[in-house]
Amino acid sequence: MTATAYYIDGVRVPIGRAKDTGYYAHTRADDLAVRSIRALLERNPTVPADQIDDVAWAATAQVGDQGLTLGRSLAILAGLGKTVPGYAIDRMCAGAMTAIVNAGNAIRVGAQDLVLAGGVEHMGNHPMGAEIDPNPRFLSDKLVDPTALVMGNTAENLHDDHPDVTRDRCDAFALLSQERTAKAQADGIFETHVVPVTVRSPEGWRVVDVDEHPRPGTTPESLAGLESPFRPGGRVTAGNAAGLNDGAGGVLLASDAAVEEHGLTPKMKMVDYAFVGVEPETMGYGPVPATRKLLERNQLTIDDIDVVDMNEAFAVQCVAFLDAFDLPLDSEKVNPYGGAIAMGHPLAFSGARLAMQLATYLDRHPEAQRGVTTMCIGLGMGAAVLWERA
Amino acid sequence: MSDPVTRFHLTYADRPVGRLALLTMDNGEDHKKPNVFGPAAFESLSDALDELEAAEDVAGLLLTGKPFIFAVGADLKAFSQLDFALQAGKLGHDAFARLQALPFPSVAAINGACMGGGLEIALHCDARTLSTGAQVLAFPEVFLNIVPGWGGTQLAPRIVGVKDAIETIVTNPLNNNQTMRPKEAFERGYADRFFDSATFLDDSVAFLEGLISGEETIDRSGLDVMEGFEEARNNALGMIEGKTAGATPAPHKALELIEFAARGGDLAEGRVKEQEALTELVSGRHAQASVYSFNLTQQRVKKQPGKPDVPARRIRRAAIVGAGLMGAQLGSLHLQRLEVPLVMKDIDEGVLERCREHIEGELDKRVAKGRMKPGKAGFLKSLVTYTTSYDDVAGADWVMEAVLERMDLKQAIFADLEAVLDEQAVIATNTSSLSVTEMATKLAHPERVVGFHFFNPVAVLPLVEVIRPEKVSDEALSTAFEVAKQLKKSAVLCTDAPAFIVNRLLTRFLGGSIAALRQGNSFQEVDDAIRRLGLPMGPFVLLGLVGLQVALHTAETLEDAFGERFAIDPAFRGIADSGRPGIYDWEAGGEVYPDIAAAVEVEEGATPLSADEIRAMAVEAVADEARRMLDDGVVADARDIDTAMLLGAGWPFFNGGICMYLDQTGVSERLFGRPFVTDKDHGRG
Repeated sequence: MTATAYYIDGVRVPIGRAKDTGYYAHTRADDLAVRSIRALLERNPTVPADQIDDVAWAATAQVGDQGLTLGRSLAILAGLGKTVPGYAIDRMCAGAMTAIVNAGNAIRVGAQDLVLAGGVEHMGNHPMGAEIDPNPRFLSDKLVDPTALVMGNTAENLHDDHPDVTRDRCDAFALLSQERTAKAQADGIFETHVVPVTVRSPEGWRVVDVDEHPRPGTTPESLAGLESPFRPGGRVTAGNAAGLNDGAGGVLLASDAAVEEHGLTPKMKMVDYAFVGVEPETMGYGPVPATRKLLERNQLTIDDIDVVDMNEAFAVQCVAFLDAFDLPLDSEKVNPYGGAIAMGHPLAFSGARLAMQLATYLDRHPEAQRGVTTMCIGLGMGAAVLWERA
Repeated sequence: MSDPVTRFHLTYADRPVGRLALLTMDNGEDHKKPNVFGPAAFESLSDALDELEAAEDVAGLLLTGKPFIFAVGADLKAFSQLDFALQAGKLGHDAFARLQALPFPSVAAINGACMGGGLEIALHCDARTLSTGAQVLAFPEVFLNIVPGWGGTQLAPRIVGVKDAIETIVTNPLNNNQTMRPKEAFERGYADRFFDSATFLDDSVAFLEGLISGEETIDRSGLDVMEGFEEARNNALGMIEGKTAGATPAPHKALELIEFAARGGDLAEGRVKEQEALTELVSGRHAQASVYSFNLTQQRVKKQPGKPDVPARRIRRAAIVGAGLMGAQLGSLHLQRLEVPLVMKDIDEGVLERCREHIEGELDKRVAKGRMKPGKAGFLKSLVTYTTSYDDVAGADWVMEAVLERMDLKQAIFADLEAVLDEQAVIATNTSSLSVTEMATKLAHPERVVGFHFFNPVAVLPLVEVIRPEKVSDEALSTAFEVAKQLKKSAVLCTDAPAFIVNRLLTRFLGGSIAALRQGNSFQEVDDAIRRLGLPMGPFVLLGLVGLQVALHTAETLEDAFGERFAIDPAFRGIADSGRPGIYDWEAGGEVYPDIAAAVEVEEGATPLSADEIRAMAVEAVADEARRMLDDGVVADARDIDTAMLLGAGWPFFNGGICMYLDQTGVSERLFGRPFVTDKDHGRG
């Protein structure tokens, strides 16, 4: 390594619900990404747009309004200048997280100085699985379990493997997610990285400025009353899983040299990361081995970590993580501002949100030194990134 | 099918600075059907204003359009119904004044095309933001021979100053309906902020919030409303005289209204004056004819009436035979618009060399203006073969003939072409007066020949007369229409009758004018009298432009074909044989050449005609000829004649070409007992 990769700033649009009355039912995915990129640069006016070295942008469905090599498309659409290159990334739910570590690596090896990294997923325009054609050998050769390709089923499988992770504990975690998100919203936490967007609707243009997904009135009873859509008597419900959502956002990473040249104030630095593969039919377990690997590589324990921002694809996966690291269900260090169960999970985008919330946490907690962002990934993977206060 | 209604949708957003109202103009269609204001739109606006006036918690308003379109003004279809047109002024003034009076800041976010009433509603807001992606802004009313009638003439001078108001409301419309690109509109002061289209509405919302919070302000204190008034007014007056000969009242009226506002006239009084002017103009013949002309040239002709419903031959290689002045212009046009390999064939190497200079020079000009990349120009140059051999013409799908107007020569060339072309290749002739049918008679495949008559200068005049000889195939005719479209020319179909449409009518018109000379009127008197119809120039100035010999040649063709009514006046022959470049000696201050003046013999005992009599004589001659052309089936429809005269002769929109003028002024009824334009659907069909 010749340089350090700093997280400078991050911006996202409010997360919408992926349905025909949702925020973004009449808005293109790429336009959402353009909005976040322009707002990011507006907030950092000393950074000349045409000196961005690369735009790394993730989407799971790379077709239609998420096709055409997103990073480069966005560089042009956002008016960064024709000399700014870009590329597209896909690692399913960890798309933006992968974009961020790739961007960080480009800086760490000294190849680049300023990189935009982020993700977008318009699940309304691109329903999960609608545009893919899995190779039949996955099943005929028994390469994966038939349940591995439906994420809700993998969550049920995870329950099977971890009988201690009960439906009740998962619902309790889901409620906590709603409560913490509502409090963070009230405390203005999201104002540090959410920008309003003007969106079209058949009733005219609207301004949206808060996440659409949270249900602040959620009660233990309302959660308990939900049935699992995945198997009769199942434990995974709409209440203790992330939703189907539309969202976009990205972060600005910079080298020491760029920080100095443009007078930037880094919020944190990217220290290390780990990706792992796990059984596809229990993909939700991914964050556990990924985080373990990351901690071991850096000779740390979970006690050395002040805050974890973990994607809440399913409550079961989060509770299993808490159990694995002997953390209580209501651990203050895990998802202090709530998570995807309340906020929603626009697949490839979510990794960027985790980094933004971690940066905000470090900013507001001077005593905190170190944080991890982590997520599970479809087809059986886990990812974890280690960050330190800059 | 009913037309979409532009509605004003109202939504709210609760933001830290307070409640924002967003008013969206949207007719529910894509950008090809822009937002326009008709009666239902005003009802919808009125409902929205009721709600806004009653609201107690609104802190600011943002008015905007749908993607790519803000609003393009009045619904022309609704305007052609006189009762709406007459009420429209008041409807618009009342609604827009209510918008202006709202007790909170308002911002018009001009996101897309913004014309006429669209620009007027925007001017009624407290401030305007403009998107870099708003393709076009304009006040086209004067072009349609009305005035901006919803406050445009009263507010524009107050907001952008009188000079820019005059230039955009009066001068631009007269100057081929010139419009503003967004940067120009911003620089003229039509918007207070200029935002990138990528996040235009987000930035506009932020600007409105800034106005509410006081972080943003609008400062127009530097504006000197009357600055540049005299010069702008004089320029406009010059343009009015040059373009309309004062034959339509709208431009003067607009100028008066702007001046009233600029000199500090009361706004309410100005609104009344504007309304009165609109009411008077909208029911007048000029405005009605303008809408008709607009529809003919912008809609009807683009549908290419008369094009056979068979596929056109695809043009992969084109050739022009005859590389002289006309051929070189045609070559340049074909190369730039078709962008296919092009063969320029002539018998003279020197002519070919001059042709190359012309074609390459035209490309170089585009490069110099930044409209074409040098590499592209180089490629296009490489596509052209300059040759004296017919062998090089082989393989062409479309051959344009542009040699001297001699039947034997053209027939010989056609025979040579047929020897190298494949059976379906189309041969088009640019003849202006010879029989296309006769030209084709000696061919094995006469069905491949079509007439394709351009107007000089080719690059400027948008008309092509597509001539249908007796034996032409549907495919050849269809191909001619398709080539016209690709060349970006408007095609009007006519049969293979002598001199086709435009030249036949102009020659008859000229005959009427020359007759006046025999009565003792001077050339200038005749030109002046005729020009007051609103024509771009009088017949004798035009004669110089066309060329005396060319005009005589056409006249001879017509005399041969039709005899007495086209009998060539001996004076005309004398004039044409004078060897002069035209009637007037422009180097001597526009005096008539003495030998030309001497060629005219005034009849004994004749008394000079009045200007009215001169006009009547010329107009009635044209009326007679137009009637014959329709009765003989030379054209299918009076609207074709009008389209041709508008686009080929530059006759004014406010006369609707010529047939509409004859109908409106009662000439048709008096001479024939019936109108020319019988289709109620004035140009939309």
